[in-house]
Amino acid sequence: MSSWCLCTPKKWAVLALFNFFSLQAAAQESADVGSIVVEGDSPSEGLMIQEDTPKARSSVTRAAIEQKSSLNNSFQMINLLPGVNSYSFDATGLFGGGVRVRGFNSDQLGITIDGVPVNDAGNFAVYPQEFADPENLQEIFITQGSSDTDAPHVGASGGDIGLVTSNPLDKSRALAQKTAGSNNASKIFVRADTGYMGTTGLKSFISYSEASADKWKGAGGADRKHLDFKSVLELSPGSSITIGLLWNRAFSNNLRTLTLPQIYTLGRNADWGTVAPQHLTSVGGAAVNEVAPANGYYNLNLNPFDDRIATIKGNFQITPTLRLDVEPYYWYGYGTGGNELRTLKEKNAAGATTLGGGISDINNNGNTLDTVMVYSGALTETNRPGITFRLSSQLDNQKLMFGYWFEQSHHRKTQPAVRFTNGGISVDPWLQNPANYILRADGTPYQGRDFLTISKGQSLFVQDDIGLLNDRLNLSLGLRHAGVSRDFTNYPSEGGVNYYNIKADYFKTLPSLGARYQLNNEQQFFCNIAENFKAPPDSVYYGLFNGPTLLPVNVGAETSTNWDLGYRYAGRDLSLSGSLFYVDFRNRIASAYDPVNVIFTNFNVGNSTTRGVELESAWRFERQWSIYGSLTYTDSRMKQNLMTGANTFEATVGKQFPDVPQWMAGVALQYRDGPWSANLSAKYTGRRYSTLVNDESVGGFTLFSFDAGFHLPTSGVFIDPMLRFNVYNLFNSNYLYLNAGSGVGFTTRALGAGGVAPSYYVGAPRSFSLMLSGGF
Amino acid sequence: MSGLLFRFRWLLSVGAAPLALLLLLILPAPSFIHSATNTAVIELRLSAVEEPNSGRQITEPHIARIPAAGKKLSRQPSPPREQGLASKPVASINAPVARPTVAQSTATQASPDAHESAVNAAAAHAAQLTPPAAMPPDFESNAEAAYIAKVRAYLQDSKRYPTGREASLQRPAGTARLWFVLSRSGELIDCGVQRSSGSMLLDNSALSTVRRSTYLPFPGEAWKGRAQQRFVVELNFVPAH
Repeated sequence: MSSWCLCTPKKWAVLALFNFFSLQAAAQESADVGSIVVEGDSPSEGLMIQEDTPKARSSVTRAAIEQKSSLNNSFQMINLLPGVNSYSFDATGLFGGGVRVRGFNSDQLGITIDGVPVNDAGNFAVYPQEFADPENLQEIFITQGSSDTDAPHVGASGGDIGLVTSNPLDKSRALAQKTAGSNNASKIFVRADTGYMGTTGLKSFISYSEASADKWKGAGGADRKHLDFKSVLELSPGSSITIGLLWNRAFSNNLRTLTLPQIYTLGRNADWGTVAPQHLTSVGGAAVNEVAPANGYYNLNLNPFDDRIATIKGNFQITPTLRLDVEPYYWYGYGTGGNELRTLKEKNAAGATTLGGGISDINNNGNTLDTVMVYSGALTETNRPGITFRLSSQLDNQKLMFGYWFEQSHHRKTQPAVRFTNGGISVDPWLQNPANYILRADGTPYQGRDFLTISKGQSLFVQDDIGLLNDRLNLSLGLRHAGVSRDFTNYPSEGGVNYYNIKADYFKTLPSLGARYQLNNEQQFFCNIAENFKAPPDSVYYGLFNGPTLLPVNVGAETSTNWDLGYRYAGRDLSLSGSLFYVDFRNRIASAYDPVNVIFTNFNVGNSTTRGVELESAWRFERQWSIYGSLTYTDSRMKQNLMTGANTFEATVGKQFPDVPQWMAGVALQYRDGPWSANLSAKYTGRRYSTLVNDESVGGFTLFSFDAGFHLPTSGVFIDPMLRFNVYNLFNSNYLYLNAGSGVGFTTRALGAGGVAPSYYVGAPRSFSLMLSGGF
Repeated sequence: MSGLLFRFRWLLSVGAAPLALLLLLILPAPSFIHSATNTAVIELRLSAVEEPNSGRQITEPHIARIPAAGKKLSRQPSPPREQGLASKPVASINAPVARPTVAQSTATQASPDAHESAVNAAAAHAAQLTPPAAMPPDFESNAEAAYIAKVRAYLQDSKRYPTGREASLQRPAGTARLWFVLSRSGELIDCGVQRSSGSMLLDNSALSTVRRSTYLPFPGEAWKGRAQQRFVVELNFVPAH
């Protein structure tokens, strides 16, 4: 293999001469320089790595992940990284959370676990509490602003987040962990590793955990069962087959979000009602008119969800310069969420639905005149097989990769209803037994909605990485043709009585170009331009019947062009990474006036730009002490007004996107000495607007957390026992998180006529957790 | 006109990148300025063994860095931590312990000057040392051993574990054995993979380390009469914890 030296003509002649002598040289003895260990590490205890990729990218590795509470979800782990505005609904993370990067919400980011996409197939939402026990998490990486060329996403206008789980250990080991914390938080985790089994090259692990916690305000709690299994068969150096299984079953009561007026009147700790709504009995055959209580009921506000992911990875190093990856996967999800306490009208009540003859006697009181409270939630069932093929070839100084990703998702959304008892307990919280469903007169079950979306996602991609100037200059050219074909069917339901079917394709060719110049061993400059896109969510096909006519869908994909210009310094004890970024975000989808169809609907409302700076730095200033810091400045502005009618609009020009703070800063002071470890971290999140017209905002706040760990000496039956202590919100700060997604999730205006008060998650107060673990 | 420029802004920006690249090709490549012989007495321990990193439990082989001129050393030399790997010890590994004595000792990054002067001084001292019994036969002079130590230092400084989506998902580990040919003037003639690590990412990263490093001309007495010399090195990649 010849090197690629950029030589002057004089040097070319010398080179030719030397080539003649190189045969002689080969025959001579070689001088042995010895062995050098290359470890992926940097002076930050896992919060930063020595990054070389020619685009903005940050990661946290196991060293930092294992410092946090074992209850936490993955969005909490990346909280300190630049560009990241993540939050959790409570200290444990069991109830969920969200993340925003460069202003893009999680449903605009492409999230994978071991390469498998986990965004909802329909609306791209992500629920971080559903994957990965942190005990099995090896790394979380994030590419701010740009999606990777070979990433299987069709809904990522703002970049990617990737979770990587750890491999089975080489040696056999069993591990048990017990965690206890505030609000009755508890987790038991067990893992067994087989180690290499004989000479087969096969190693596996299986782990199981049960976690639970009470809500920090209100009644109810969360329960989560999780199973991970991974098996690796090493065929030869560089070739292996890996099988992975993930199962997560969660059942939780939702935390209540509050508007600012509600916080003033009801207080920060207000939550759902705790008195079970009572069913009314009919007097003399008269109609019964039940009304759901204003404060709802905590036990009819549930989030049961079951996820299962199976993956097989076939990685084959065919020759030392040719590699083939075949990675099929299967994703299954089932569950419901939100507020399930609703009322239904029986067929002869005023204003009742008539589909299927109307709804028959719900409360079995002999008449069909009643309005009855029921448990009815939006139920989703998704089956999602997919496969990625990738062929990589190293030719001299160029690495060529091309591949293909294909996925078909069968995404069924219904909304049946079941009864609940006077004790406030639903007869079927999972809505899984059709025998429990409330029926119409014709025997078919009531459905508040009834959709089927079959989506075929595809991406054909090619990437060329070229090393020039003795590998001082690296160019990364990527091209992918990605998109999704939607086949949406609305079956007649109480939410839309007309059957209709819509097919739509959204495909885009997305180029990217990255360049990295290594000035010397420590310093590098990089720049990156990448195009991303996000297909419209399937909710743009809901409710398209306007009277007797089916409206056409006039929504296109969101697209964005992301520019990074950055600098990195990687010294022995000091690492620094900074980038200037500019995002040109076009065709943002929002709920607005569509002048073509003369209706208020999902529509591409225009462009916005986001610009800013992301900095992160890690410095080991003493043998046992290091400090990590990140600073982010984000300025995101909308460029058009939002049309709300033929001649009316909301003044959004020049306004900032909601929930995008201008300033964020993170700091972690870390101490490591022998068996002791301690971290004191703080994250400052600046003031954020809550509406598109910026007429409401919530103040900035700083959250401190403290983690400490101690390795106990091996004693008796336990190997390497460990104690870990975590404090969340050390100084008991009061803070709020905006409850908003993206696009149609934003509140347009809070004040004035037609304004709607935006709702917030109230930040959890100080809480503790203590964990004891041991191997054997 | 500005409208036209705006319309094709993407094309312009992409076009600018090859232009910048062309400029870089035309301009002379940066070269490191090396000082002439430096006779300052800087004693440096040329060892592959790094002092323990904060004393925490080490369960995997740690980075064995050649300490910079400023590193305080807290332990006697011990066999290289990279056990089970290259069995050929290099002369430099077994050099005796020495403490840095100059004011530069507070720097955590050795500049090429400090490296060179340190190594020159060590070469002078090395002549008085008794090499250990396990000395491989292809080293004929201590100047060669000193030069190899320099090469090792440069490789240590430019080594990188690969990063990126592929590296994060695969987390490759393995040892790549490379050969490379340096000319007498310190120029990299050619390099290649002698034994693959099993991972294309690691092989490429190893080759990249060799290509990116800059090398000094051979000292006069090293490999006398040869216009170039072939070297082998093993790079053992360990993913981050």
